[in-house]
Amino acid sequence: MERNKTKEQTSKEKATPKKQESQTGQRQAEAPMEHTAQSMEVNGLNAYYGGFKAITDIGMKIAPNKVTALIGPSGCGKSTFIRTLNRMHEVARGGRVEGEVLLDGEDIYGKNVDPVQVRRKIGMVFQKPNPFPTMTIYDNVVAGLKLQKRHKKGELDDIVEGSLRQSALWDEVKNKLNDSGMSLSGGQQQRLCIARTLAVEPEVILLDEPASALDPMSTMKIEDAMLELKKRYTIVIVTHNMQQASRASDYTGFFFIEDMGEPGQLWEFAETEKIFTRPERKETEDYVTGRFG
Amino acid sequence: MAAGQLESGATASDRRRKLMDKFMTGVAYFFTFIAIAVLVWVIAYVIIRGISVWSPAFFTENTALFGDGGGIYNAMYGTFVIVLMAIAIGVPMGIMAGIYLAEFGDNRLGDFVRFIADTMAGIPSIAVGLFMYGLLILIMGWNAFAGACALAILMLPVVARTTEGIIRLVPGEIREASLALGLPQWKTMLRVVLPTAAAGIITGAFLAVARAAGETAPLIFTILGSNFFNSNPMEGAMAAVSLYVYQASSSPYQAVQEAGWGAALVLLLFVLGLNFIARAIAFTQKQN
Amino acid sequence: MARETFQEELDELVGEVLELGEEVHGTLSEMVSAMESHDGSIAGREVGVDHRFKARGQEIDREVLLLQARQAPVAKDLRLLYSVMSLANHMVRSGTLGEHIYHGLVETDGHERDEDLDEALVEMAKTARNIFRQGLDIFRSRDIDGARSLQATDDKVDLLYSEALNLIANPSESGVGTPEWRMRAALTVHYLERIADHGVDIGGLTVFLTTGERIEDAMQQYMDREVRDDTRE
Repeated sequence: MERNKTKEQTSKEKATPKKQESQTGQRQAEAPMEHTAQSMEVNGLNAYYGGFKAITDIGMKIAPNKVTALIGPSGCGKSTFIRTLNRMHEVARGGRVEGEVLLDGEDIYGKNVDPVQVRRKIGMVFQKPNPFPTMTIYDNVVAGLKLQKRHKKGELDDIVEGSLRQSALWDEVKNKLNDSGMSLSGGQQQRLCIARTLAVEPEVILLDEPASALDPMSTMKIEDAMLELKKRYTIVIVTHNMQQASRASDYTGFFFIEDMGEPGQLWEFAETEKIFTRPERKETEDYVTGRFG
Repeated sequence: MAAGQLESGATASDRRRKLMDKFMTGVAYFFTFIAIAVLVWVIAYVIIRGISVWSPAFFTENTALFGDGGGIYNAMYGTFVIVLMAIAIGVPMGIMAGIYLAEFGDNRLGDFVRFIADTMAGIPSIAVGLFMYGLLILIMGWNAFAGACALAILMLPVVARTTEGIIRLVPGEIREASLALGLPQWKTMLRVVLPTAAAGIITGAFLAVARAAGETAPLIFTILGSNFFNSNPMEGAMAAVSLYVYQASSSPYQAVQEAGWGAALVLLLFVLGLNFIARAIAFTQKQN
Repeated sequence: MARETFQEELDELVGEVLELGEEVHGTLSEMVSAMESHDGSIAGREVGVDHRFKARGQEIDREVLLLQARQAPVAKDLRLLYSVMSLANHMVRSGTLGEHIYHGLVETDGHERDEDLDEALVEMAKTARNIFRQGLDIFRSRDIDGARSLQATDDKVDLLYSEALNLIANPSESGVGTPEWRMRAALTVHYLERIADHGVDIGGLTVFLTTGERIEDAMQQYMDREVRDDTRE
């Protein structure tokens, strides 16, 4: 990932929260500026669990600084697919991938590519909030950084504040950063996980049904956060909530399985507007209008 | 007015049902009471028989198997040293084995290791003692180290299996979160999974130690027992509290038998204490 | 099938709006008869009919609003609700225009007429009624091709419209008619052109409902392509 290293250096110059004394002398996290994130492209992607083919021949372009939603009935491969985007699929038993996934033109499945590096560039938030139980809120946010290398104590304060601001959690936890990560509510824990992902400064953020375990209020907060976040990152979200897809995304991909036991396919991919006003394929329309089954 | 349809006791079958409920609850309470009563009885009996022997002299004098009984100073030292060595030998190995089984053990080799561990846990402790006798004592003579090894063998499978169990209980999501942050597998294990499992692992270790500390049979053929103070674990016979209880009980001298009870009380409190600490650790972790 | 109740509610709604359309068409037919026969009593019967239409229109609007709020419709369901609302509007407007024409007939009953102009008006009225009828049928049967050809019929109406305006500006030798009659005639010409327009739009909604395209956009694309072809030669 040679090219990305240089990008990393230049992206350090972007206004990530760095030490900055404001007029009043208070250390404030700089509001994140906009930043052109990287795009992704998928070509001819197949994913397997051992001998079983879960998804077949997926091709899509994921636009930078946009939210791309993936919808479709259960079991049609959306979660499997999103995990191929940051090489998490291969962590599962028998997980195997064919085809290419390009991050800014570079294939993340290339021969000499280190999956660990890939995952630093492409972060992921999971369906069930999973903060590290033995760590404080502060430590949770910077876990990705602290566990990579040593940092001086003060260095991380700005990053913590910046990340928590971006995930719309700062105001609620700024006075209890040393409390356990598990002391928060479900919605707060999820936003903590988002902050944790942001602290590593990825280019792309993947969210696998991030709000499905949460109440509507928390869901709204996360959606609002996404709308802000897309100014700096490229976002891909799997959701089974159609309204969420129509509210929060710019592009929508519809996954579908023709028959039980068949691999999932990308049935239709278009601007969200189009999918929800006049989709091209019948199955897409049946799904979004709730006429399935 | 007749009873409302939702009120209890409305019909005969309702009343029968309530009676049965009360009866079964009573039976459950009864048997629980018996179980607790037995435990309390044992503890109380040992306390009563043993507390009278306790005195400052008791804890500062060495053991004696004749005459006026003596103390258990050398025995306490012996138990302390042997248990410590056993922990040092058995616990790290057990934890490593547990980590192996949890992380890499989903295959035939892992199943085999698990089988061995479970079998090991079932070996009679006296057989382990004899094994150590044949292995080390015949070469080295009586020594405490062999005793510690024997205890370690008893502890090893328990620690390994509980460690494996605890690590498996760490939710997969935690691991996934760590990997997704771009942390390599080994760091995930070391800095995320193990700290999360730490309390459980420690609890398991404590419980294994508690069991081993009370063992007598493996010590018979390794440390032999002694009435003198021996500070060298690698050479020479040593005393231990559990062993002394056994030896004292077969002595014809009344005073020695009494001393045996005193030693038994010490042992009992030691083991109960270890159990208590183990539960306390688990409890405080749960609070967090 | 999932969402059966919702589908039933949608079907019912479409039925209601088509029923409204039939009633409006009925009124338009009566209007043609009244104009042909110059019988003021027919006209007199129909005056005030637009109250009913407006009330029905409001009911339909309300039902659309409720369905939208409760059912979160998307894609073809959304387009259907949108079309139904638009349809109801077209129909109510057409009904009101018809009402205005009736009013005019009643006011000028027995007046002297310009025969040529009167003929032209009757012809326009028939055309408007027919177009309305066609629009209704096209929507009921979701006939996209019919919608496209109906769009072309608009030109014919424009022609009649110009002719009538011409006759109004330049009275013939057959007689001028009373000033009031003439004034009413001018207004009626305008109303009839509007009614025909509504009919065409009703047909056009069929295309939107079925394909999501606006028929004007499709036609415009077609026109542009023709022009481009011409310029290439």
